[in-house]
This record gives sequence, C-alpha cells and structure tokens, in this order.
Amino acid sequence: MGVDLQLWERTRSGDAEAFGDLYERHARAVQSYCLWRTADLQAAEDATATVFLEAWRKRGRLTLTTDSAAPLLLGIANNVVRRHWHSERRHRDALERVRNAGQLPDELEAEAIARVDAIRQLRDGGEAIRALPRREREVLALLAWSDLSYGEIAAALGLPIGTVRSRLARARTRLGDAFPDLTEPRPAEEAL
Amino acid sequence: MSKHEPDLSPLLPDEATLKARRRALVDAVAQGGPGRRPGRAWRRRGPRLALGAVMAIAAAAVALIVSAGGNNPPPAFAVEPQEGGGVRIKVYSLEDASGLERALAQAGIRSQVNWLPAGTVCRHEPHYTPSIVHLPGGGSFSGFEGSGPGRPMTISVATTKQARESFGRYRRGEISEEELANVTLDPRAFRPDQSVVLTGSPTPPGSVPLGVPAPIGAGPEGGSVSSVAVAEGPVEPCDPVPAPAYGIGSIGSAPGGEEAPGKATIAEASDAAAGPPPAPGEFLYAKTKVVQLQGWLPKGSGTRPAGPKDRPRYFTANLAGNPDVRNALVSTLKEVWTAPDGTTHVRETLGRVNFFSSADQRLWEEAGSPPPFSFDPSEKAVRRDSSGRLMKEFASKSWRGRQVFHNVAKLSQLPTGPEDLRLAIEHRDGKRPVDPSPARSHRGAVTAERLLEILSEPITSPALRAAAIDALAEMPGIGVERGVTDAAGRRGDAIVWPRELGYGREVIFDPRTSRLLADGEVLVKARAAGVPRVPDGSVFRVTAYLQSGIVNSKDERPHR
Repeated sequence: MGVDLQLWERTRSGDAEAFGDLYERHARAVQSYCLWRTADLQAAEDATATVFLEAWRKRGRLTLTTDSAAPLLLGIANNVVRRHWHSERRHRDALERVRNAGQLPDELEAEAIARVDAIRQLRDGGEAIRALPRREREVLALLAWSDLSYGEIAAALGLPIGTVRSRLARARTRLGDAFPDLTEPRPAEEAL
Repeated sequence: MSKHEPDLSPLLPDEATLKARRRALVDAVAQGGPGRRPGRAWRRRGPRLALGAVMAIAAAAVALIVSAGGNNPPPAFAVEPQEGGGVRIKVYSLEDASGLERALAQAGIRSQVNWLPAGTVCRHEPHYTPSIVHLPGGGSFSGFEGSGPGRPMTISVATTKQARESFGRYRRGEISEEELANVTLDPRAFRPDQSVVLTGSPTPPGSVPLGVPAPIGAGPEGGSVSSVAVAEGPVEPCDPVPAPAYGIGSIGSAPGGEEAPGKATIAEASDAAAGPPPAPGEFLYAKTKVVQLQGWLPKGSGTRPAGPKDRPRYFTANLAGNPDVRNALVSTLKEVWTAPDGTTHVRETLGRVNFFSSADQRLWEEAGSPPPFSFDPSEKAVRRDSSGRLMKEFASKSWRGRQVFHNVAKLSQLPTGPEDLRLAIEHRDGKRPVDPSPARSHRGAVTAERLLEILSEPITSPALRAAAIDALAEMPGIGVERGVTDAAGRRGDAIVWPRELGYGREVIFDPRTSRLLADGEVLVKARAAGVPRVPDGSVFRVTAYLQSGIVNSKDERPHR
C-alpha cells in the first residue's frame, strides 16, 4: 500500500497527525495549482488551507482511487478555486489560524520583488488558459501545472478519462500555437 | 512541466512556514474543526427533502421480502390503521393480489396488483397509460421501481397532511424509519379514472435471472423486482412472459417484447461481461475501433503546413478557427493487452480516412494522400504491417488498466435497480430518495458521468449495465434514440446527452443485452462547436467496442 493510501486511511479514521503528514507532502503542489488558477498569493494561500479543511471535513466520504492523494486534493482545489469557498464562513476561524502561522516577520526587499515578479509571470503566462471555457480550462490547467497523468486528472475531476481527452482536444484546438508543448497529445498516454 | 512556467518558489511556503501551518491545521481539525458534528448536514437538508419524501417515498432498497413459506404461512399483507387517520399496508409476500386490491379499495385507492412468477414481466410494458397524481400540498407522484432485499413494502394511504405529520415525527426521532411507509398515497389526489398499478416478482435465492435488476449477493430470503405506477383510464390485464435481458426502465418496452428472447440472448449477455480481471501471466485483450474527427490543410491553401519543408504535415490538431482547415474522419483499429499490474501493450492500425465531400477527397489525393498526424511515418514506433497498412505499437503504463481492476470490487457492490443505482452513486443510500436531477445541472452531470463510466467498464455485469442505461434514460435532458448504427455498422439504441458548445455524449448499446457497442462524442451542433463544414450529428471521437477477453500472451487474441 502506498504512503498516501495509508495516510489517507488513517486520516479517515480521525488521525489528525496523518492528515498533517499529507499536508506536508502536498501543500506546495496544491498551492502551486491555486496560484496558477488565481494568480493571487493571498487567494491561493487561503484556497490551499481551505482545500485541506474541506478534505478533512469530507474525509469520511472520500476514497482514494489513485496511489497518490494529489488527484483528490487537486480535485478539491479545483472546486475551491471555482466556487471561492475561501470566502465562506465555514472555515473562517481555522483559516485565520493557518494563515497567521505562516506569517513571515519582515520581508526582505529582494524577496518582495521576486514575489511581484512571479505573480506578474503567472498572470501573463496563464492568461490564454484562463480565457478558455471552464471545463476545458480545468483539464488543461491540471495538465499544465501539476504532474498528474490523464488518468489522475480524470480522478481529480471525477470525469471519465475519455472526457478528459476530448476536453483537452478541444482546448488544444482553441489554444492553437499559444502553448506548443500542450498542443501535442502525450503519445505514451494514448492507450485505451 | 510546461516550459512557460515561471519560478513559483518565492510564492510557496518555506520549510519553517510549512511546518508552522501544518501544526495550526492539525490543531484546528483535531479540536473539532469542520465536520465534527455528524447529522448536521442531514438536518439542514431535512425540510427541502421532506416534501418529496412524503409524496413518493421509495427507500434505497424498496423491496418485498418473499417469505420462505412453512406450515403456517404468515399473511401476505397486513392493514394497520394509523394514529390520526389513514391506513398502512405492509406487504410481506407476493401473494393474494386480489386481497391487496380490496384492501387498497377500502382505503380509497383503486389498483391493479400483479404478483408475477420469478423472472417474468408483463408482456406489454406498460400495459396502462402512465399518469401523474398531483397532491394537494404540491409535488407529484408517478411511480418508481426498486429491487433488492430489504424490509417489507409499505403503502400508506393517508392525506397529505397526515403524511407530513408522520414524516415530521420521523425527523424529530419520535418514530423509526421502519414506521415510515415506502409509498404514501393520498386518495384525494386521484381523479376518478386514475388508479395505481403494483407489479412485482421475486428473485429466489441463487436463481437471479440474468439481465433483470436484482440484488448481487441477495440474502437467503431472496429479493424482488417491484414497481408502483400511476395509471389513467383502463388498465389491461398483465400477461406474464419471461423477462428479457433488459431493465424495466423508462426507455420503453424491450424490442421484441412480443416474443421474449430465448437462451441465445442470455448466452450473448453473459459473453458480453468480460468477467474477472486477468490473473498473473494473463492479459485482458480489448479490440476497439476509434473514429476521430481531424483537420487537414489542402495543398496550396493560404496556411503553411506544419513540420519540416521536405515532409509537411497536412493533418493538424487545429480543427476550428482556420477557414483553410478541412475535416476528415480517421478510423483506427486499436488493440490493447492489459496486464494485471495495469501496464498495457497497444497496437494501432490506421483504417480508412473518410471525407465529407468528394472534392475534399480529391484535394487530399492531390496532396499525395498524407497520413493523419498520429501515423506520420516520421513518428516514433510507426511502421507498416504485412498488408502495407500504417501501424504503431508501443508499451504504456496506463493508469486506466489499474483503475479497471480497482473498480472490480466497487462495481460488484452496486445495486442493479436503476433508481437504487442512481441513489448509491449520489451517496444517498438509506436516505430519502429524490427525483433525478436534470443532466444540465451540476449534480445531474456528475451522476450522468459516473453512470457512463460504469457503462464503459468492460467488466460491468449485464444487470448493472441495464440499470445504468435505465438510470441515464430517466434523467431529464438525456434522450434515447432507437435504431442507430455504430461506427462498426452495428444496430443499437443510443443514449444521447447534449453537452456544452455543440458537443454531445453518445452511448450506443444493444437493447437486448444492454451490451455497450460504442461510446463517444458527437457534434450535435457543428457550427456551435466551431467546425461549420461538418454536418450536424457527425462523430467527434467515438470508440466502438469490438471484442474483449482474457489471453495468455501479448501476441494472442481471444477465440471468437
């Protein structure tokens, strides 16, 4: 049994430390994805915390269908970003605590510049993809900004793999040459 | 990873921050953060569900327990007067149909009760005109179907007010779920020409008829298939015939309902289920024909083809947005051998390239009949087979294979009645049922996707497939087309689900066996999809399932 599967089973039985381990393993990937989707640091941090709070809240109902917990967490992230759950009151107190725990005392100027720069690149780089219709955008964003395979994207979004492929095909059609590395199918993944 | 990706590290938490946040998160959830109070969601949902539950209560397993018999058989049913008025009729066994009709009549409801032998259905389905009763308090009831083992069927005949009161008492915990009726009917809601048709047949232990919705792993008491429906006008007598290998859902009668299918059909149906996953050393073989809409650029058009100058690539992944792009349907024969660990060996052979006009075909031939991009001879693994056809062969670590085998256990646990299946998928087992959500709603779309996923699993049993088809057909916004032809030229019925942007999902199945023939996406409105040269109804990407079975090596194909 994979590490994530074990951690998730323990999480399901109410083991908060196991859940903490999952957080450490995947928080950066979730935050990266939320950054790409929102191009806003504050929103991405709130969304990341919300993803884990939602995962905990729904732990009894969620089953890992993949070896890694990333598809499950990124699937929740997709919903959180889409629905702006971070503005919901449900997790307000917990969100405050998680966010404050991460506050840095004083930012160095160089770091601040690096952040602003990264945010600007995010905004420019993701613009074409953010302009796609939602269903295509979600699939393509997961393909581009996470390490998930087609199958794991399908698991993350709760879609059949065929639908993932056809949405990607349509997204590629629309993007044309804007993202050449995304507009060619992955040959190794083209199995049944 | 995309090469467009900027360095995100300034925006990600460093190790210390990550640890601090982990601590805060663990503290927050361990101290009764979200989700620590089970039942809260249920209570919130209560008022919204109450109405539907009172109008048409079908428990997750609406079932008739068939009594095992004995020297002193218990009564087939019991009539219990209820506090505050009305009666509750508990059905214990599928006997004494006329007695049950009389009891219902005394309570104010006209009825026809058909208790049928196991594995049979009424010859004409339906043998009455379906109708709806509008209830004084709002809502409506047209009937439901169920199957499986479970508590006795209970029919409450009471006014809507009484039914609401009893549901309120249930919600406050004053009465148990057992004391709530499966079905509540208000006599005042019925017009004089309306009546109730009850149909049921037992599924004796160990002899579950193939293709009939029935419990998997039914208890020793057996289970049943049952339906309650509202009819208007005269109700024909029910003439029992062997059940076809087909659900009793709302698609309509099984074709050939006049003559029930014989043994040949049942053998075919069991063939259609691929059965258990391959054992170590074995492979699951699957042969499919894939037809996909592709784009290509005629020679001499304004757009320069991609690829190196000496080997231009006329086919393109860009279908829309370029007026020079023509379209063609490319078919590929795909064979996949999946090992138990999920790794696959794939062989694809290029089939015909079909054009939408002879002028398009001429242009293509003038360009030297270039192959579709995935079969470009410069591509890795592309070669010609002994007949000169372009083909490619490659190994793949397919997630799909792993998922198929992972699903075996899950699939065998799913109920095989259409409504039960939908409720199980929506995680409403054991809760009050609700009508299917429209396919265009978020919840409906998720349900429909999952049902389609069940259908496209090669290991899904015929009974489960029939239930999935019926459950899909019952969803508002999903249509059924009879007598369509799939990509391999076979006749079948189709489930059509129009999706966004002119695309539609289409699933073609054999109505006799519920076997899946083909599955894919079609262009319902080609113009809306951005390919105006293509006629409406054309294929976008379809897979026709041709053959599957267990083989012993990667060169072997199953015997027919």
